[in-house]
Amino acid sequence: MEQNLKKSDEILTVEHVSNHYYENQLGIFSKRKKVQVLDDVSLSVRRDEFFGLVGESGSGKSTLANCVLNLIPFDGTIRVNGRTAKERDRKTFTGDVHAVFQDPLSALNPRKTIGFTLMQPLRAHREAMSAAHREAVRADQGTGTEKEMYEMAVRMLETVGLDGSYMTRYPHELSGGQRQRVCIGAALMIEPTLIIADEAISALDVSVGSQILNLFQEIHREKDFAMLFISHNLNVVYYLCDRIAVLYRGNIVEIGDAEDIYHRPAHPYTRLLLSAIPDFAQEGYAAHTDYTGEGVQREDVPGACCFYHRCPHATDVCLHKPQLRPAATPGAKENGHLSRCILNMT
Amino acid sequence: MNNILEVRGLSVGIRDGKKTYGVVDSIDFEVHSGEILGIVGESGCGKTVTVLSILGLTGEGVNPTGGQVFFEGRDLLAMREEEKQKILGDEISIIYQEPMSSLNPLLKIGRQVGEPLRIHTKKTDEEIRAQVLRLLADVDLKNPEKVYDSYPHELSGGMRQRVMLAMAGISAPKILVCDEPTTALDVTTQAEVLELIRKWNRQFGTSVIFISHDLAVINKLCDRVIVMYAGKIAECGKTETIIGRPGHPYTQGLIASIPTMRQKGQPLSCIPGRVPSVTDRKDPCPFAPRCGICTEECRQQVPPHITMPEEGHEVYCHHALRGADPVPGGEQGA
Repeated sequence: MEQNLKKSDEILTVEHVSNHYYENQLGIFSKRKKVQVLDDVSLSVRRDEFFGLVGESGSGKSTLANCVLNLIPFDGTIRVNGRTAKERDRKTFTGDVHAVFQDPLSALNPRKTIGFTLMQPLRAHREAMSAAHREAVRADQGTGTEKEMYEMAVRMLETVGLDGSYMTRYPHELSGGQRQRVCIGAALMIEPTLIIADEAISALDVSVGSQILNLFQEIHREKDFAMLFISHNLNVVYYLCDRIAVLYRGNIVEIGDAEDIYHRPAHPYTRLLLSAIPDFAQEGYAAHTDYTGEGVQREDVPGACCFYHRCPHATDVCLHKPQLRPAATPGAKENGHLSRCILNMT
Repeated sequence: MNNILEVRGLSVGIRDGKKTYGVVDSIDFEVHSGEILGIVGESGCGKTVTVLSILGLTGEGVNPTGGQVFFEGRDLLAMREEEKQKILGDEISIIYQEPMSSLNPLLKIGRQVGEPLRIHTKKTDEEIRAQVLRLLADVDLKNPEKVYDSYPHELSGGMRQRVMLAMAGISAPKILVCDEPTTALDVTTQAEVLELIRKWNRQFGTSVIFISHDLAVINKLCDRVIVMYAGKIAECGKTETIIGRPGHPYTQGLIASIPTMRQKGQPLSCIPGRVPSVTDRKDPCPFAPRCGICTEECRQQVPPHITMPEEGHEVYCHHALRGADPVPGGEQGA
């Protein structure tokens, strides 16, 4: 259905992005050890799409988010709305991408009121907006004066399910769910085209988390933005997202439509993840398989498949790093369902 | 089935200056020997405070204000401190959510795991070492010798939690209390640790009290479940009853707010609002302000204790019997 996509329909393109750091070893003359965090990651997020990124801790999910936000250096290209961060100044770039993080309390300034926090992006971007955009926004909502900004912030609070009385409150007076709503509001203030939600509901209770998930969907119906949703919880990612990429030790091991990933996983790691989810409905892949990837532990071989050391199916052919290629599921090529496994099991 | 632990009318108060607020409000439950009992609820519902006060581990200003806790027939709350110490180290063990904060970063794993044996028994160093290595192998650590000589920071989160389990198990306790032991772990590691807890329960007959906010985890592991809300028990019963046919609107709300496949594309049903803070619990039924089927009587009378048709299924709610047939004579005024 999305065959005739043009390049311009891609909000975010990540091409061959790698990132590494050096770990200091004990002893003054020992060599520093190179740790590859992201290894040649490529993906794209389309306009108006919710894209899910799943992986265990240490798989490089948040590093990728920080690369997209241009917070850390990386190799490769990341384009937002067709241009890289270098090709434009920082302010217009940050106007396009905003993030919601896991812990809202550490994301909010404890000494500023909620109102101040919400109006801050407007103040910062007032000058940076292109003249045409500024006119459009001014005509539409009016962001010129302090009073207009205040009204906009109140409107945003209502959008995220709070009300104007929160303007004068401080972060510590709010509950975790309310704080996360404020963070989402602050991220949406200047109408970014891409929102990065990095474990945005992981620290919340289930009932509050579901309120936030509903909020994302409600806002998405009214406003036009794409989202890169990062989580370790495959159930939540499947529920919310249209497409999913599974990350393992800095490699994308599988990428495709949410339905394909959840019901017809191709990579052994995705299968392991799915079978490990405690789920009382027992639906999807886990319901009709007795797949358990437990108990396998091999020596890590440099240059081998990234999952070689835990894969229950690994053979000698896995000693060479496989490429991402269409999975052995029906219609994989057309749907863009790719898996990084040389065995290509069905 | 005999009960290894019986909690009768336990209340816990938190002192703030001169005022005392009730965190846990006269709850009753029992732990059968050899079962895995789950306690589930949102944060702030009093799950952790309940078990910590049973063990006498609550901090300054948080104290039991009434009730009894019988461990094998003896009241833990009325016991002298020295007597209690013996039971706590030996018969009841606890593991916490964050293993790193329970391990001494300066001592090697082997030393820490073997410490109780060094203090309480007259075993030689070799015997202790052998026993510790056996325990480390028991918790499925791949390379016990190497772990024995490691420091906590050299281990991964899952390995640390296994070490904690080994420490808890060194005295072969009768009750193992797990306070959200897998919340900080990855799903694959979580599955392995849950499997391990189940193995211990089956192999050594250890009773387990498992606290979690995740109903899916509870469902996978536990035989029986207690649902707590705002310091009270909302519902308790067998796991399949609670998950399959919940009687309390709070449990129904909790289950409905977990995203499952079927709901893709539809909004999740969620419980509005949040758990009231301890200073703000006025309604007789604490769930009334968030409840979808709340009526006038919920705001005026304490919810009755209703015994449901299914075995061991008890619900504290005025409307519990909606859609279910009441047991003749099963309804008791509270």
